[in-house]
Amino acid sequence: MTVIEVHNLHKRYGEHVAVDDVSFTVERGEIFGIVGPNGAGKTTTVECVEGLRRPDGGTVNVLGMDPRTDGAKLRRRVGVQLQESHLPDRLKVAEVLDLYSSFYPRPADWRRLLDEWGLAAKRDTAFGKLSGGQKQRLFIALALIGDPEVVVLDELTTGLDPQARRDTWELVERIGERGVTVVLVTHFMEEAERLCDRLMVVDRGRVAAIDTPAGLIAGTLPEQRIRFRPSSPVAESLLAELPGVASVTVHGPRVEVAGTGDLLHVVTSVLARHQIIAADLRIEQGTLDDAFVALTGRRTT
Amino acid sequence: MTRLTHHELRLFLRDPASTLVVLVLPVGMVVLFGAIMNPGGGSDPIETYFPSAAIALGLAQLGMNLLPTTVAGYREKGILRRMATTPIHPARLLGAQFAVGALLAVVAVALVVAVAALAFGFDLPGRPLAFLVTCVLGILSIFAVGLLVAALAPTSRVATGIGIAVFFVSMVFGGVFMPAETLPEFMLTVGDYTPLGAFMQALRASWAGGWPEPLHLLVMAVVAVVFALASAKMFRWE
Repeated sequence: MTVIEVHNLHKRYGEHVAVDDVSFTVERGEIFGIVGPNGAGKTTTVECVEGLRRPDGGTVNVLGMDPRTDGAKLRRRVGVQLQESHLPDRLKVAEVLDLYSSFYPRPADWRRLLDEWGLAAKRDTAFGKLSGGQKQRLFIALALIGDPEVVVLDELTTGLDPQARRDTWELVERIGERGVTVVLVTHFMEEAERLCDRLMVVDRGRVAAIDTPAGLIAGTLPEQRIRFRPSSPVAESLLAELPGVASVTVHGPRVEVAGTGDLLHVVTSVLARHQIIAADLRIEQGTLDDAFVALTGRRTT
Repeated sequence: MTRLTHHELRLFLRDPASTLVVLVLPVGMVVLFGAIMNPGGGSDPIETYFPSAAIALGLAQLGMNLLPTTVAGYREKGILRRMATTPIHPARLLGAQFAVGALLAVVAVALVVAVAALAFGFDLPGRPLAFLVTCVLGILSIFAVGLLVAALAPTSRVATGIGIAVFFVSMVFGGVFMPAETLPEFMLTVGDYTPLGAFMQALRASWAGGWPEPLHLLVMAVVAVVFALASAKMFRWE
């Protein structure tokens, strides 16, 4: 079932076109990633989905509602973590959760959220005294406080140290396991690869590709390299004639085969037929980072 | 809404500086001048000056300084925006701010009147109804000025700057720093048309037992309506 449908979204700020014809759909229970360089239009796109901005063109449908006209009703069912936000410094953690839960008709139990997000020991701590990671966890808890069907997490782990980032990933996986649909905006490819079922790559306000992480890599960087040390010498021609093989190089005792398709299977089966054992076998394939660079011509970080 | 107001009140009271300027300072002023001049309930017009000035000072701090700084800060820090992602419109937060401000204003007025009359023998306001009408119009007009500052200022620092400027000019021209009878004629005339000046003169008139000049009530009412509408029109949520 489709929960978010965006068609031909356009949004400009003055002369600057932020989003230029973006279309995508998100299915129920999916973790859908939006990746792209800074200024690609990721945040503007999700802000149109949340109803915080009015698109200049195109249609947005979330849970069967138009964010432009059904904003208040929609926000009862969609949780949002904004890229940048604050709370009054002197407000305490438990007070924040209690207050925000009063905004929703059927809120989640905020005491349970407090435990789940590791904030129980901080319940009487003022917001201004929390660490970056704790603030971030509080904002995720706030995104979940209305017991939403969809959550939008924008730049979830920016500014967190690597350990806090990994901890946060586990928590996001847990949200996904509960059947909540997650839209995740990020510029960390590792994060996108680990968490997302599907990804949309956005560049200069346009969609560069939408696919699974593995599909994106295979689609943009089809070439793989296999390196191994054969137990007895292999004739180059034996491998070079195999389907999908582009090149074979022999460096002393090591052989390197480059090609596309089901390369590993093709190579290992011909070696097995000749009773050659491949030792130290390594497969090299493009990473999501590489695919991203190939798609946008830019590095992510 | 009550929960939101409750939270805002709690936040206000957690900031010692706010409580100090809005509640402690006006009462302190009455205590200080009460002790120095030892009023005896005479009819010297100066006796209406001190408690009125104390009230005007507290309300001006609250409405022209704290209110715009807080509201502009809420916008600048994205607190209004965060709230816009919930089913509750952030206008409710401004409503809660207004409610907390009004409540504190009433407490400040009550404290000043009580301390002035009970502890130091200043007269009670001579015409309570006129005093009450004056206070309501004064709170509305001064808060409307503060809201307009919050609507126009891009950041809380700018809001504080504008707020302080408006505050001092109002205090000087409005006959709060110095009794109006000691001010030059042109300053008095200007002061009559400022909300704080009109408030101050109306307070003193009702304290002395009369009705304020209609001009002063009219100035406060017009400022309250016009400035409130203007700030509603110009307010940006982010």
